[in-house]
Amino acid sequence: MIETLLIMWRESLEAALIVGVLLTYLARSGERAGMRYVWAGALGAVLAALAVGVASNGAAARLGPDAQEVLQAGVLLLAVGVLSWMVVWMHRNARQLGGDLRRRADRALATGRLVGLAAVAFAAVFREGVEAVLFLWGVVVQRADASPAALLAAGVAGAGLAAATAWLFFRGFAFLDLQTFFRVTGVLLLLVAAGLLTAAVNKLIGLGYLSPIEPQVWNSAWLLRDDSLLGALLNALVGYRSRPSLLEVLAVGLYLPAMGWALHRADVATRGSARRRPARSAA
Amino acid sequence: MPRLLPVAALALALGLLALAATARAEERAVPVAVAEHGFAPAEVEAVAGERLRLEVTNRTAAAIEFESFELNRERVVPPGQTVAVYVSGLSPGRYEFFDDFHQERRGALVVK
Repeated sequence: MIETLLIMWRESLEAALIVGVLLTYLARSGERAGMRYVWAGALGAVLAALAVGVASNGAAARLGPDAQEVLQAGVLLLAVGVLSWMVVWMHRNARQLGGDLRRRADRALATGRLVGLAAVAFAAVFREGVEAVLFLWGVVVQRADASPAALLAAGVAGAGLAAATAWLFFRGFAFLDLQTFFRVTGVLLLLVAAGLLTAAVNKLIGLGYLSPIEPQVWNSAWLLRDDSLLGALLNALVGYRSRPSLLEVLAVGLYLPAMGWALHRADVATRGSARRRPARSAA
Repeated sequence: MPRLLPVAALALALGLLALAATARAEERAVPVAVAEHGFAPAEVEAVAGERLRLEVTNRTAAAIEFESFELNRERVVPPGQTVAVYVSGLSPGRYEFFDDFHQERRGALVVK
């Protein structure tokens, strides 16, 4: 029973941390209404994970394990794509000036941004969700001696603990001043996206569709082990691996600077046009 | 978006390179089963540089997660199913793997 709880805690922590980053960011931006998007993404992912988990399990498995893994990779890439598109879009449109156009662009910008964040929430929860469903199903089947209800309760408790852990983790962020907070969460969000990209590429390599080019570019286990607390935390949040393949490193090496630059330009342009515009009430 | 275009082009070239590299490689199947007591066989061997297709069969009644930090792979296998996990270009060494859901089950890929 305890084992089930602990494993569920571990598996859910990854998703909980990512959703936590998104929610903390929105809460501090004063966009509490926007948090609904993230919750919607997360909830949608739970339902989707249940559906996929059921479809891929048991004798009547309709979704083969390979198809499922391809689906996961696809969902991750989609989330990275949506998030990136959102960042690029922000960059391109932050420079619009003028009354009506500005306000329309603001609204579309706001919605587009929230959809991007919801997509990340969806991908993060979906990935771990399917694993969790398969794991719990297996536990219930295997442990004929314990009641399914008790086992499921232990599982849900584990997920709840993960949510609580993430909440506690991000409470720590409340002590940062606003500017630092946004800088930190901005970077964190970008790293989360890079982590999702790494995961997608890793899955495609494991499926045999892509070549790693070089399977282990470096081994940083001496510095940070994958199974240490910090290593597991970083793996969950930003996709840290002690022995990444060259393809994964190149993917992140291309993605981060490009997105970082686009985000930076969006920030600069937004701040610039805000200074030029007469003061308005906050949106 | 003139400045992101070279980045996109580079990404595309990278993707194509990675794709092409798999097309030419010959692969060897290495069956690895997971039973209640552990991996069977607990150790599998390979030659350095080979492209391997680890065929992980789950012979238990519950889902397992084939995971390895050394191989940089993790894959959930539902009960009764077999998945193919690709690894290639490995240098000689011992690469340990385990079942993340039942960590007492451990095995290793020994590359010569």
